[in-house]
Amino acid sequence: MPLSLFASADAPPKTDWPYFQKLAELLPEPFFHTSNFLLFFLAVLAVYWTIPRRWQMARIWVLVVASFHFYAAWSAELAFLVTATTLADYLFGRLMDATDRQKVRRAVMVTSIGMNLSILCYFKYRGFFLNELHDLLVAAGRDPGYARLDMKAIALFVPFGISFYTFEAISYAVDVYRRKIKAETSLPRFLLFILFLPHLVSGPIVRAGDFLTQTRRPKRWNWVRVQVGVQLLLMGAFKKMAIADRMAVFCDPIFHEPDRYNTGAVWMAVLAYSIRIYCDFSGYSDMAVGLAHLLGYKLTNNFNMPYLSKNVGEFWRRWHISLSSWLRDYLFIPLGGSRGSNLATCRNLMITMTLGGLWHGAAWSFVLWGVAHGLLLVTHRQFAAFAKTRPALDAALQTTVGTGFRILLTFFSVSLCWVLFQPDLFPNPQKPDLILNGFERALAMYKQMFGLHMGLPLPLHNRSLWYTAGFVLICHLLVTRGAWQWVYDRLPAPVLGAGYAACLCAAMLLAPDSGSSFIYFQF
Amino acid sequence: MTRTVLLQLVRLPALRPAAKPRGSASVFARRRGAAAALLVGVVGVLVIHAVALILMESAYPQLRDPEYGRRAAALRARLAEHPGRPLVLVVGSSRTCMGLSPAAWEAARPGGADPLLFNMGLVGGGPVIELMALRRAYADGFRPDAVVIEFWPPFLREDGAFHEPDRIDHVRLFTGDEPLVRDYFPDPDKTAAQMRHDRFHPLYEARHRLLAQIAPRWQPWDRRMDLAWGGLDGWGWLPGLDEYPAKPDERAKRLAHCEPIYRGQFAGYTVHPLADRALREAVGLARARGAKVTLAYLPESSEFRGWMPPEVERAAQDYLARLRRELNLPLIDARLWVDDGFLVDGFHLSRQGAAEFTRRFGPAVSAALGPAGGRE
Repeated sequence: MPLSLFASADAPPKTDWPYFQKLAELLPEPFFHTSNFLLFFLAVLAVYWTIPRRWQMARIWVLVVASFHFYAAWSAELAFLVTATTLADYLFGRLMDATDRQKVRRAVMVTSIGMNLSILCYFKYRGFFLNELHDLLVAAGRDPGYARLDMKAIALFVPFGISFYTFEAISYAVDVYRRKIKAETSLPRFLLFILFLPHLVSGPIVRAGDFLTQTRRPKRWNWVRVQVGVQLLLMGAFKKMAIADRMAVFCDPIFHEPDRYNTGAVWMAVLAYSIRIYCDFSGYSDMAVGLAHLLGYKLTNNFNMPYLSKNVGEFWRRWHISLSSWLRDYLFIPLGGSRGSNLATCRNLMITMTLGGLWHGAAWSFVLWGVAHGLLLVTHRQFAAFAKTRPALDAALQTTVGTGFRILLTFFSVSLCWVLFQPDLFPNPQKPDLILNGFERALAMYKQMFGLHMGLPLPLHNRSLWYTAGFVLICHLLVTRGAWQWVYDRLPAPVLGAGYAACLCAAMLLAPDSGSSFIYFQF
Repeated sequence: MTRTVLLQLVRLPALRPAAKPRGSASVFARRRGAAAALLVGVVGVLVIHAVALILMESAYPQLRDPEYGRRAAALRARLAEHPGRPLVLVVGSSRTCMGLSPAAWEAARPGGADPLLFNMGLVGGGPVIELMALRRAYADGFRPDAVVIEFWPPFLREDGAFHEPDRIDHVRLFTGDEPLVRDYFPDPDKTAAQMRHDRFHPLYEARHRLLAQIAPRWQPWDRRMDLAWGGLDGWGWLPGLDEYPAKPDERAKRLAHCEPIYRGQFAGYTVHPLADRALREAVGLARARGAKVTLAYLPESSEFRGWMPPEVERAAQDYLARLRRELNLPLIDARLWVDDGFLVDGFHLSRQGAAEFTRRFGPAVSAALGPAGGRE
């Protein structure tokens, strides 16, 4: 029985159109590691590469149509909505390029950003803000004039990937306004920029400048590139199926009802959750980048061994890189960045991280998660400045032991913050009536963690958790030390091929029952 | 030829570690290497799946159904150790699995050509699963001289949630089980399609069963499959709880857990035609192969008997009497053979209870089968 903390694609909005109903049967889940998606993608790949190279535009149209169908299989209405907003963004871009009058260009950019943010707020934040306002008015003794909204029902109609493509559209409008790029004149290319199926669901958040240039390059079939794509796809599938889903078996039941478990089990669930969230999202990103490679496109690398970061600042340069760089370029720097006083920089960090938290989900728990990371960044900034004035302390921190300690402390801090990273909706299949908001669940977790409580042990023998944690750590170390690349470069092709087969079979064998939903699916 | 030349012939050039990193090779060499790696990967996946399928279907059936497969392997070994002794195969549910310890009979038997008891029970086994075990045993070449079929009224109910085929995971079904699927499953086409799907994805679909055998601790406590076969001895016996005398508090808890389940099972109780058909077919199958058949009613505690309403008791006894009359079946009625303390939850025997029960069961089987050992 799937137990997932996060919304799955189990109940997408139903469409009345028979064509799309049939499509939904053929492609029931928008997840890359399902056999239905792989068959669909193989068909797309076959058509795409069969088209002669000189018909570049036909290839682009194939991808646009395939991407639209991929989205429409989940919800046809929302696929049309995404396409319509993309068309509007295209027109706004053309409008900006059509005039040199700065005021008009600014007005168009603001309209474009306003439209995208309005749609995002309507679908994703409407329920949250209206319910908060409702509670506030009731607490103040006023009649809100409306009933609290059913967040569960609202969540079903949140277009998947809305936060990702909204940010892509905003960055495009800003870049065109800043004249960093020229507005795209080709509609299919622009449609592909937003709708490109590998990054549509959960990123990486691509920049127009990077992607649109690639659409102009003729694509040639290249075995080396295909190999890279398949490797990433396999690696992502292994991370998702064999590690993330397995870790979910450890942590989900405990995150559902922390007060039933003993303190040790809750701490281990937090460790499992840290591993899970990394493997889930980086696995997804690897698959997305791999699929793009198979189509001849290169997407941004989203992760770079984040759990070996020596401080929180470094963690954010290694974790969800496409989002953190977006927040840096389009929020932190426009707010003033670190150019002003220390206080102003700290303020900018707090604003950026709080909004970054809210971007992840419409819940106080996500906001608090953002605030917590903002505080960690501010604290680190102050401590780094303090340590610089104390050479002995600075030197001690640079030693192997000091570095190890910093890595452990960063991992510990980040893991503690993950406890806050909870959505409000909590459909527990065993207890459907038990709906706690994310913040309440996080508090319950902290209570169990920092008190000595008796209760149930881990739902699985803890040895498999330690083996998995050890495996992830060894992989991190091998990659960062360059050993992985060294060995990989020297492995004979047949051994590599056998490795691919073993990796896929191991992923199949280790995949547990629990759902195939991705944590970042709804963001 | 010198040793070096021989080694060069044997060694595959492509498997030699590359002296230089791949990046320094020519573009064509890199492309050729990439295509070769992908080709080997695809072929590798196909080969691994094909090997897994062959192993599961023929060489190691225990990979697909460890409960049956391990018992079949153990039975082969026992037959080889005890040639000439009449084989008595006992089929039934978890009550049989935990209750019949042929090793205890072996230790106590008088000697000579005593029956060779073997426990072929399967957890959750009602008449359909008993029939499945029996059909598989015959298909695997076993020729029992006698077959003892467990009779237990709760499992004769097949309506709604009690439908026995729903308890049979399609992954554990072999190709040879297809006739059983056709005859007893509610939607045979669907189950057959699932079985085909299982064979197409042998690793993925059977992953829980495989993992339960490779690394049982990697499964959640509440989904540990290996409990049904992990402790099997060489005689097919699945040891139950090692608890005698029973701990009163623990036993009371177990009884309290089971009581509502079985009271629910007895509410609206009827003997289902499907169960009747399967039982009759099992009897017919064994007799057609020349084996004597006996029914056995295994021990139950006074508490368990108390959960059974009089009308259910009457319906079950009436059915049993009719079945025995129509098929001319002997019955070993062992309901009252052991103290309640041996029945840890009211209907499953503890380890000590199994030994106690089997020491009486062996002679009873010998007597029921007669001096010739059983064959009709």
